[in-house]
Amino acid sequence: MTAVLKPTLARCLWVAPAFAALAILITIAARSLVGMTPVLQESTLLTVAYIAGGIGFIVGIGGFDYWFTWMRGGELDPNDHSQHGAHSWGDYFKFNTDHKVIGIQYIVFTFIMFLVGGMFAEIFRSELANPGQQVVTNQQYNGLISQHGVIMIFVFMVPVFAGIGNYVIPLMIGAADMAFPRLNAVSFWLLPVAAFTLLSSFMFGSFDGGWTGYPTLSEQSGYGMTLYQLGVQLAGASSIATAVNFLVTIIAMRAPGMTLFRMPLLVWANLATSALVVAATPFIAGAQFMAMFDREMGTHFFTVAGNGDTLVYQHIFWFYSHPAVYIMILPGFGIISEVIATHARKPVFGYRAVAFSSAGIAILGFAVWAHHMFASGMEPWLRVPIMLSTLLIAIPTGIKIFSWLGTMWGGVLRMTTANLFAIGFIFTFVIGGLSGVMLAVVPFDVSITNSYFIVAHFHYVLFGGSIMTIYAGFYHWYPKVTGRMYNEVLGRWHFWITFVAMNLTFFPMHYQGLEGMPRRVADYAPQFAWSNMLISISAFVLGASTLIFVYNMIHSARHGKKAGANPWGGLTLEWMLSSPPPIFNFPATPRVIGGPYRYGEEGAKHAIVPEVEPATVETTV
Amino acid sequence: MKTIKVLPLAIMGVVVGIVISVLLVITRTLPVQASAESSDIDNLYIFFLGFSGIIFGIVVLFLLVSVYRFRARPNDEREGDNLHGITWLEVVWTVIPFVIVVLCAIGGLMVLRSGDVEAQARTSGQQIHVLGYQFGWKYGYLNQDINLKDQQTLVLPVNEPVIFELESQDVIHSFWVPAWRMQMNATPGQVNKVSTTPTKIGTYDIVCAYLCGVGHTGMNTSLPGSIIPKVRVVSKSDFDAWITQQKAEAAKAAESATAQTTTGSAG
Amino acid sequence: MSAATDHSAPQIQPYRTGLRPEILGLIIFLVSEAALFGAFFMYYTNLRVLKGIPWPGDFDIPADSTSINTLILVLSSFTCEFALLSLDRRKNGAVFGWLLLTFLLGATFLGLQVHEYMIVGFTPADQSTGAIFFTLTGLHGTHVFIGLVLLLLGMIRALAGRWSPERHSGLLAISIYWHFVDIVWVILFTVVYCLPSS
Repeated sequence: MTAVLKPTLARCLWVAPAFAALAILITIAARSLVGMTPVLQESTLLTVAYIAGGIGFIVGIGGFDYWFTWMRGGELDPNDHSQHGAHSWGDYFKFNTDHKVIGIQYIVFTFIMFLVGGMFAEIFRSELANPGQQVVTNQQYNGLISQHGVIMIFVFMVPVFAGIGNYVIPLMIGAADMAFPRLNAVSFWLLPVAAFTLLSSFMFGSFDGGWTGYPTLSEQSGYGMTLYQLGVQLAGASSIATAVNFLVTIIAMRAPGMTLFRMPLLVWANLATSALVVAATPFIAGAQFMAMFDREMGTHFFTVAGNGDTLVYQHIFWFYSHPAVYIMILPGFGIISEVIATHARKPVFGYRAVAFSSAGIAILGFAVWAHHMFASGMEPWLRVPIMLSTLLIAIPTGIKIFSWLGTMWGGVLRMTTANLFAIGFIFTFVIGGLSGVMLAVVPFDVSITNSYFIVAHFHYVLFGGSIMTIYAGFYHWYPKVTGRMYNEVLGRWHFWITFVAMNLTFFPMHYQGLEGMPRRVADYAPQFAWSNMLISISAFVLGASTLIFVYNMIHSARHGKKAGANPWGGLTLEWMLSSPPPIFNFPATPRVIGGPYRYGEEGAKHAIVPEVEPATVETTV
Repeated sequence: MKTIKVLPLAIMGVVVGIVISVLLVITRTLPVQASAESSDIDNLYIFFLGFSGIIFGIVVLFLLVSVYRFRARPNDEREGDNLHGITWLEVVWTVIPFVIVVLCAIGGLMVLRSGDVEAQARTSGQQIHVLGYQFGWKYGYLNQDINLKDQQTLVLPVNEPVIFELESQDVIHSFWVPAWRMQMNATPGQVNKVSTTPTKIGTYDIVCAYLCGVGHTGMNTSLPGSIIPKVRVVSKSDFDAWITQQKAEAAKAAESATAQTTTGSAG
Repeated sequence: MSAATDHSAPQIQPYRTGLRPEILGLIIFLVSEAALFGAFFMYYTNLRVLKGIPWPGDFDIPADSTSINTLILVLSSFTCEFALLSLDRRKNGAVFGWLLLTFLLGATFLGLQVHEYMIVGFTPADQSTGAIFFTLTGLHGTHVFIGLVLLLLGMIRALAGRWSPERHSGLLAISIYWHFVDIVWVILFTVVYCLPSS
């Protein structure tokens, strides 16, 4: 009985529907009072139910309990750690303020979403395997590709990096936790709400305008489109909250001696990423607000009838969504720097250049949004400056790649699975980067934009780039998180199948696009038949390779070899703790005495962790 | 242990890269070049493949040689060199991409300039109004005062600049003719202009490249059994004959329409 | 770990920003908020400044009466600051009083804004300009409303005696937020009400 009153998932089960019902009642009352007709406007009621239900879910899980006390003017105990740390597996299903628990929650949840998004891809790849239409209708096909994009971007790729960062960054900078542990938990619990909102749109006619949701097509879609607009905002709110948390943590909570240039590069990458998230994400919120008002409140932001301007949506949308590409890849760059330096036993080559190139990419990232719009009919004068800025962004990216090569050169490469993924990443990401340079050039871009060449390009960047780094990160920190080693043989199989299948899936798409196959189509000309068959088969193999990974991760967590504190011989702070780390991380505030990558230096240390009795852990109110 | 010299390896990388580039150029699958701009754009693409292959070759060669040469043996407890960077090398690999990027920009700007046939089309070419709708295209000849019916074939004279003025009736469509290397969105509420010069007689596919709803897949003339007509490029004399015929048909239609309205009002 | 393995460079003090984490977090959050307003200002600028599309039905929005409203909101920023000054002198009653005054000024602003909505002559559903007028001012109004709720909470905690010169992050946060709302209004007022469209 008490379970339904305490902050648990059980409480969510009644609080969320109660909130939704209350919101519906209030709306009906308000509508009949003001005299709006019809009083029972279905889409309005659903929208308020979703918003209130989402808030109710967070209330139910206990996200606001602490703040309610604050609001009442109650006494607060800044040293109350009752919700901190996982003492049993059940704690992973609760509102928990420990960054390590939240990190695992993030990673597991987003990876499940990755599998869901991947399933959508497998369904439409089976449609595309043969010319003609066999498996799904056009409507369903459009719904599937849109869901695939949105799920992958907003509830997998952006938050999974937040998850990895959550686990690793406080450890790396020698902090006891994130700056705002409760906000951190709330931003995680917003994600299931966002995912539910997006996925449940299938019940109401899924959104089918692509992941970009451009008007005026978005005005024609079923109610699912409103849920897309809502879900994106929820995921956006979650990532802004996390980014604020990361920024404050990195700026204000570093251990003594951890100067900016002694920070591991993953921390640098997350600093740049979080700055991007904070400044860019509100733009997609703005775009989605306006598009949603158009659909649900009869405004005319983007409708031609009311002097609206459909093109502005694209400007505002890409003003977020291009930086979003860097949000999805910069933390990955950070992971690669950690993985390569550790497994090559060599300092990162040109540490400062790599750190500054993250900042450079973040700043330039704001000046390139319109390269998605060369064929959109935007102001022609904007083309050339955007082309130049887009080309410029290749330089900091190139610096990173060459620096990683320089790091490996003359090292002692331990070919662990993590390192394999890092090396494979360089191979595939270079391809994506080079096609990106090509696409920056206006005349070439307008000759093949919106074709499969684009699909090939961004899958090389997002799968060949981001997902390879995510896997590298998973394997690298797996021993730290679970305390056990993964199965190296299975890991190798996973890498090789993923790597080969990934290239066979996405490389032929370049050719298809150049030859004239548009993206987002359920059928194609006969000349693309064999290449599509090849792509579909590779896509199934790629999907299957993920199962090896899942098996390896789950099985090794119980039966793997004991890892010990530092299986890779890493120098950064997280490796100086036991695996998994103690609930409050460090026994006492560590002192940082040198750079993070002092490999090859006799007896060099990055930091010292004093083993005095536990100091009082400070958390913020 | 023997050290590997970096410079010869880099040169070898360039050689490997050139081989890759040549392979990419040979296997490229581009549609026929049917417009004045297409060869420029294809040359740009070949230039891209050139430097891309070389960069890729260098990166991959260094990657593979590192993996082969610097691989840890079993139970190898050695550490790598304690080398934090070489400034001149970092400068080199900042400057070289910068040069490549500048070359790309110059190439792009040159092709962009030569692609600007808009003014020419205004004075001595065809001005075509294209209306995108769900799901098809409707054309009008602005300088000939002819409006084609739904799903009627667009006919254009060869070697004459054309400017397309694109509009949309409902949602965003994209007017893409791969053989002309030309694409432009038709955006509701605004007129988007794009121009080209068809240089080869024949029929070419028109593809709607932007997702425009359930019929988007079908808005592609290359699909078997597509009801949407391809664009037809004909000789100047054929074109003139076709125009005269269209004008005659239009006059006839207008005549019968007025006849109908007069009889209608009389009745 | 013995001191012998310590290769350490000079001892470096823990990094300090001079700001409490919660205030730093609030400021970063406000950057994000500014970007949200930025999205709408982007839309507004394109529509009204670049394209010069008039207000629906050629209505003019009432800049004169809104000037008074602007003054009220600017004044409330000062009264809010006085609350913090009183806290320094440990006058809890005065803290409550100044917060109440700020609250009342804010509420007046919101009331006048609602009144303006009723007399402006067009609705959000009238054309794109109507939509952006109501959305921009409405988004700001929502922020004022949230500010009022926060002020109310500040007053409750003042009555409970929870603020002291040593523990007043919450009150400081409320005042910073309130100043932000004020600054946004001044910009909004300048851009939307005062600048003529081209």
